[in-house]
Amino acid sequence: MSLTLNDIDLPLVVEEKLRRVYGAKYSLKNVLELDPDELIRTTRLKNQDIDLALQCISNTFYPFTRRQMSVWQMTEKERDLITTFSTGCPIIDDTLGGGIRLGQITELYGESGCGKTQLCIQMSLEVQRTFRARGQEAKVVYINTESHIEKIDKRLKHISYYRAKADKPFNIADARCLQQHFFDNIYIDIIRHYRHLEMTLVERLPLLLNREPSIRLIIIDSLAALFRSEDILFEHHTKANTLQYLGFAMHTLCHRYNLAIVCVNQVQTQFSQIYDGSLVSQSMTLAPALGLTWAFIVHCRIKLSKTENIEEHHPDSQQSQIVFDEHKATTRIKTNLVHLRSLSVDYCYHIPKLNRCNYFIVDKGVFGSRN
Amino acid sequence: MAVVRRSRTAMDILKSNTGCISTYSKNIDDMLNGGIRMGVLTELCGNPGSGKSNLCTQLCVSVQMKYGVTTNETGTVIYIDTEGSFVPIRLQNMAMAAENHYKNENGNLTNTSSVEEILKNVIYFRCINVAELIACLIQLKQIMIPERNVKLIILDSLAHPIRSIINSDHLTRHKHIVRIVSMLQKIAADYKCAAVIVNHMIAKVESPKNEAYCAPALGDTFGHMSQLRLQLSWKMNKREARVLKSPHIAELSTYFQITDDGIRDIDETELMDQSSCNSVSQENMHPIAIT
Repeated sequence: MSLTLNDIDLPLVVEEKLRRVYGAKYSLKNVLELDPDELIRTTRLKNQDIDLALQCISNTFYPFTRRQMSVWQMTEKERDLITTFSTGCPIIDDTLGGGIRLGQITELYGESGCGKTQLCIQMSLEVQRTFRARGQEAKVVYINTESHIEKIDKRLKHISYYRAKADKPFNIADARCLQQHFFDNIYIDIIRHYRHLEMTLVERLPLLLNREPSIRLIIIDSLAALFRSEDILFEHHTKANTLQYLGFAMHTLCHRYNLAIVCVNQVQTQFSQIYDGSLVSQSMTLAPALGLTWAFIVHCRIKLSKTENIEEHHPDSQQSQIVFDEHKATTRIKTNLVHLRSLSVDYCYHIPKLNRCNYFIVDKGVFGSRN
Repeated sequence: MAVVRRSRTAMDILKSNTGCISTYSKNIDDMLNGGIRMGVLTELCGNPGSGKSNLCTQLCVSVQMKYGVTTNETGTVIYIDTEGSFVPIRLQNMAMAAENHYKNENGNLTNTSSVEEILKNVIYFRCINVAELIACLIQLKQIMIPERNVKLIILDSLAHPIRSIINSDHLTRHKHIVRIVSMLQKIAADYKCAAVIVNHMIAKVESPKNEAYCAPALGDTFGHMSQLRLQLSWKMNKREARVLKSPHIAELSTYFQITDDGIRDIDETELMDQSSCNSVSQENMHPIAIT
């Protein structure tokens, strides 16, 4: 599929020499990556011929006039296309500057039990709805690397039931059909080794994407789990190289097929020393795992964390808690409470860094809270 | 046939007065003696989230305010994006804020739709690997016509395509870096436009003390090729810009902030907080040992 020396149009002498040295099936990409001195040496062409050849090859490989676009044209285009999709709750969408953006890699990280998988499941249902309202049906690829596929299945059934009922409130049969439809649009795969993920990103996914062009979201639940299991020992630089390779494969997929990739990451503790006058104290902070190489690959990094706060009187919750107030020596029962968690944006090009909101998890899904 | 090359004296160069592009933060402009210089290569490095792409976008707006909108010419900007992080709405917001600021200072502009002009004069290219980047740079001469008046070329992330070359050794990477940067340097010098390259950071461990620090990626060769190396980072919840290498600017650092409107200065009163100046920065990496 890629362009070769057959596809260009040069004066005959130059073309003959190039083909004689490199063969007619030599890809243009490789010619561009060669050293120009080596080109001169092997083909013995004159300097201006080489320049002309390179100009021509560049023009075929990367057509300048077609590829350039002014930002004004880009803003006009963005008005007609969908560029972001919702996460399922308008408060969380506002924090994320509109939602999850297509063509970019978003990372969710946090301690275990924060709700990363919950949010991913909700997103995989919501992306179908965003596109359904505009006339396309979006499909989702969900790559799972940890072992709880039954948990995901059960939770998926739960949330999709609520969504289907919300969409078709008067007819249970229709709602069941819709729920099945939601399931049909999600491709689930279980991958346990990083080499399998490499192969999936480079070979299997392009095949699937060519067959099903309406896939708009790829979720990799727990990228970190592939690099942290006990039976793999990583040298420092092989881990970085693997992550770079995976990241580059993801970038190519995102760009070529216009999809969003959401990766879930775990946390690692980082000890830092604080010099406080003459005392040296150590403090522990939680930082995202997978290192600096991976940090440069993601476009948007979202931090999920637990907080101590709770919100009362929420209609969707059945929990209650008894609180003893020491000052007034009274007990109080807090009813219908939800545990609040915090979602904040670590960095993203177009989102201010201080954007954060609280959210909670109930039966129906993950929702933001205005507190 | 002998080729006569005109020689220039230092007085000629002093008088030629190459312009500067403001970064809209007075602290950074003062630190750089005016801003980003034309005709030479500037490097921006920093950890993710330090503000490199935002600074580049701000330069897109400020160069046009200086050379296009106010003087009735067009100042074009070429933005080559290899990472895909560019979102057009951000540029639009910065352009609107700059236009409002200018209107408040100087009254109404003659050109009422200057945001549209600013956006039309930023040409965007997306290159996903080294071959596309080289092809793009080879053809860049087609745009460098006088009517276009290109004033700034931004290469957002040279580090990303270079580090993504599969199965490469240091020699191949080195050759590509040299080739791409020389092409850019030649264009910048010939057409008197500024060139900005964004770089990544890598974590290094200094063996005798076993402490980790961050250093700019792409190696020492690339370190020598740029004329100004600016590092952006987070220090104690404030954004810091630091000059790492420059032949004629002192190695200072200063603080700035990024708002919805773009790069701006931080309030003076906050700069006076010296009490916790020894605490570790947000990324838990010690500052670079300048070698």
